[in-house]
Amino acid sequence: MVKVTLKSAEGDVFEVDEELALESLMVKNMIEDVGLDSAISLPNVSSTILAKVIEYIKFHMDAQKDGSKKTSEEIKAFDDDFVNVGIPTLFEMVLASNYLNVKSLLSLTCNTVANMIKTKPPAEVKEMFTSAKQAKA
Amino acid sequence: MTSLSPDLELEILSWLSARDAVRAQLVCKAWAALLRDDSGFKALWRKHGRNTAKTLLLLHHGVNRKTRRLQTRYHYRGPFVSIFKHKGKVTRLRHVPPGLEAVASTTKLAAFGLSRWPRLVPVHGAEDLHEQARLPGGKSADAVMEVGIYKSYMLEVGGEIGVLVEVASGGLRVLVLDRGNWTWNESLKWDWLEKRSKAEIMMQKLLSVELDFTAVANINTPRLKALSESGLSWPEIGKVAAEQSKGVRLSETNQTLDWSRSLQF
Repeated sequence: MVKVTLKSAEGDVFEVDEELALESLMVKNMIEDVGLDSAISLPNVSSTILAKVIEYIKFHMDAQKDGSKKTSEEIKAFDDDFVNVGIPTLFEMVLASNYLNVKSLLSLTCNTVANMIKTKPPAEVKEMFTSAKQAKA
Repeated sequence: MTSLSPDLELEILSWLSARDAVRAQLVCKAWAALLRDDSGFKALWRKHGRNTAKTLLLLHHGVNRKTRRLQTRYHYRGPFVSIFKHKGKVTRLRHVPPGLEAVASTTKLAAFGLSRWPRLVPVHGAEDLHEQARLPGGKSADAVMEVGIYKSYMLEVGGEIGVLVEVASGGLRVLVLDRGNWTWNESLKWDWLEKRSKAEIMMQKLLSVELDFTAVANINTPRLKALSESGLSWPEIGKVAAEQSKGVRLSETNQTLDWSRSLQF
């Protein structure tokens, strides 16, 4: 199977299956432009986040394959667990999924943030967004 | 790393239900602007297959900051008309012309091509009238007495003033002030045979009045014209004109305007 090399912001190299890499429309375009030979550098995505994104895509690709024994409950449990992270990490995942153009992950993360907004009073929401800003700055 | 871009914030907000989106407007001004911006928000909302119309309607409602309850609040550019509603009951009106409640929706306003509202001030007595309305001659006091019986509003556009009066018979009378001379314009009667709602007709009439007021301001007396050309703002012109009109008798102001013709309906 053809491998694609992805390079994170820190310079760490991730070797993934082409099929998996194509899930990201951004990477797909890059491959079409520059080919498979050179590593695709993703300066906007940190290693930890990239690892998480790859983990997410992998799980969902396995789940979609024929003969997969994963039930919808299991998939939901994985998703819930996947986004059960701190707000800064969650925001970074939103940014990364937008940058990498992974539609399903963007929906999942945005929906998670929206659910957080729903349950919080406006002042706390504001705090949530400003603190996330400060953490990144 | 930078914070979330407005695009991404919108993406997140588009996952909220209509009710929650209304509340989200309280978070910050940027979000409120984002949520009220029709083009961007509509596109996303449609993407998620929600009820666009209902949502956008809700978005033009407001949330009472103290009680966190939803209120209907129509807001327009410039001098505004705000209607606060709670549980279907109007709780507060601000500068609302009589009968306008029913038509006060943003879409209809846009359909009427309204970009600017004349300033409307409720009148309870002579002291509420613009100083230009309290010119010598005693006419204004009579007018106010007559006005006082009904719901009355002072309508001010540029330097010109009229008093809108809701008359019991269902007509709308506009008291027009031109250089201290009050004239009743009684051509503004509702056509009850028309199928359009009473309020809608009222609305159109208000708009025609607005247009005429603006027009009159331009073709007004040479003195006011000179003042307007001197670069003064309209409120200032009003003050200067009132100052200069002191002692001018009504008989001297022989300029009359054919309002029924200029209003065109």
